[in-house]
Amino acid sequence: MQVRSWFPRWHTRELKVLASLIGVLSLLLIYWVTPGFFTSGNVVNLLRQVAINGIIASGMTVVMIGGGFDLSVGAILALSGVLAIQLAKTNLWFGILCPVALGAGAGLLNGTLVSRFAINPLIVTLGSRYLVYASANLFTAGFIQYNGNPAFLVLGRSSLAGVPAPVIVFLSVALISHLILNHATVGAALFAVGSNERAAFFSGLPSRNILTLSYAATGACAALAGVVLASRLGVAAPDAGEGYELDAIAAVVIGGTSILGGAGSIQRTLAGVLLLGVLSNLLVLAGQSYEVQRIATGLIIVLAVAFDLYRRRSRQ
Amino acid sequence: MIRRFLAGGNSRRLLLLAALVVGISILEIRFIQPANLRNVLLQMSIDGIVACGLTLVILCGGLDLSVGAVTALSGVTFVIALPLGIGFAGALALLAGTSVGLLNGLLIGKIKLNALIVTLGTMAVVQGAAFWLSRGNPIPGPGGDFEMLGGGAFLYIPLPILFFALVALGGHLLLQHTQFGRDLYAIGGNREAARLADIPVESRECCAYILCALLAAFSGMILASRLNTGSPIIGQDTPLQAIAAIVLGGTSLSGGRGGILATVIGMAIIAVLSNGLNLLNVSPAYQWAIKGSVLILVAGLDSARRHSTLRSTQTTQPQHE
Repeated sequence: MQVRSWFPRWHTRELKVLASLIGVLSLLLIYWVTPGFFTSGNVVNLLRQVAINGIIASGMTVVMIGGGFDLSVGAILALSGVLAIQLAKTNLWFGILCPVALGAGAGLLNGTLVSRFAINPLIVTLGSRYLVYASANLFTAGFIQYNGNPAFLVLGRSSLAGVPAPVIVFLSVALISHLILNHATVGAALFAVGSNERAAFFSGLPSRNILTLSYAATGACAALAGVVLASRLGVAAPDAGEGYELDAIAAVVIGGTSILGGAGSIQRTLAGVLLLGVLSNLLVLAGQSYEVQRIATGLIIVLAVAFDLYRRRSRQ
Repeated sequence: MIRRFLAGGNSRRLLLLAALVVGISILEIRFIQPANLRNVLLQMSIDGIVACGLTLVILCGGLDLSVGAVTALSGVTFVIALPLGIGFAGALALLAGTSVGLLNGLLIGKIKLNALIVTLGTMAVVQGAAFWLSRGNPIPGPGGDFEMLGGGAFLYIPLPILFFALVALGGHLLLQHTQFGRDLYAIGGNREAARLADIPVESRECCAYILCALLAAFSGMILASRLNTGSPIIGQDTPLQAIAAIVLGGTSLSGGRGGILATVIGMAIIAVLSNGLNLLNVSPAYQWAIKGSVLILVAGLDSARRHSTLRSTQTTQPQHE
């Protein structure tokens, strides 16, 4: 009896993603036996590599559960990076908090345009992507910014008990997002708005405010990722961030969060982020080039969405 | 009559375009010189061909992010296959593009996967393929006849402009005067209703993706010939730029509303704006800011108009009954 009630849980989404993760992992290991993969150095490295995408993808999950979409995260990452480098020269905390606040502000603007003016989120965030890149370039006059102050580099380069600081930031962001999504009223409201905005509005939820907040959260996450990246590199360019938006969306979608809104979770995104990270790490260890990584990433995206559809159809 | 003229989305945008042209000409007289106008047209042609194809897909409610990668793949294929003969190389480049379109069409039209995600995936795959073919390096072309496609002229009209005009005209006729075009509008307006009306939804969608990729591949060939290079990194910003132009023209991203003329006007607005701002010595950062604001503003005005007409029809309906 106990086995029966326990067994169906294997069909939950998270475990399937985990299973596919293990599957891909072992498959690749058969083809290219890479003794380097399971060294602690490489695992730490892998986690550090996925941290930036993971922070952005956590925010993207929130906005996509609300039925939205954000193409401006890469631009926000670039802007917050150069801001952090410059502002940290006057005051360290100012340099960390100010870009994050600004990212949240950019998100608020996105959210207001989407929810109050009813403009397609793809267009709004495409437009604000141009605006944010413009302000990053105006702020720096187009030049790369440097800051070698050891105190500023702590966030990106230090580690606590062997765990790199970016990974700690990533896991805390994921944990906080998870708690908000699953254990707070506003999280439950976001799911309601994402699955049917009209119904949520008519049942008395402040659906517009909730949508706006979800964009602000995404903006703040992207900005935090920018600060961590700048602190890791000690350098930030005003035109960095190209491609981060699509990587984050890929991770969220591979995890199985619906692009139509109303369904998804941070654990799924975590699995998606790890799957992409493990894949690229293994391919690099196996000496495969950039193009093979791109092709593999693309194939996994298509396979993930096909698998998701198959699962939904078979359930009906 | 003026009010009726203003009520059409295209006419309002034509007025905006005219105002831009007049305004920039007053500020900078070099803008209006024939050589510069020819430049403006040339600049919008190559991306314009891609945007025309993408319009077909967006009209039927889809989206294609892989168009930029397809231009890169077709350009690289075109240059690499040149030793086999220019005609064969061109055919091969178009075939590469078409097969990507067919794949997109099958996955989205037949299997009904989400267009955004599928084309995000195929974009990565096609980019990888272009890098793999070219070993990651831009491949120089042989020059000479090869450069005719992008650099040649017919009756003093540069060939890319001519191709763009032909594609736009063909696309317009296809949408307005054929069953296929009407079907695309119907599918974009309401997919389920179109299916119930016996429209072959799946094959129509498939055709739209194939046409879109075919035009993207064609544009990639022209670009390769114009630059005398097959480069795997071109076109990374093409899909977003094309979507911006399409939306600026007034085609709805949710499908069913818009057209090729709207896209041509949208492309023209962006081309005039960036050329004019360049002539006026405006730095690229301000240009981005202006582009972004114009995009959001136009989309916002459209949304406001749609909502106000929706509200007015809702209040007038009881009177009709």
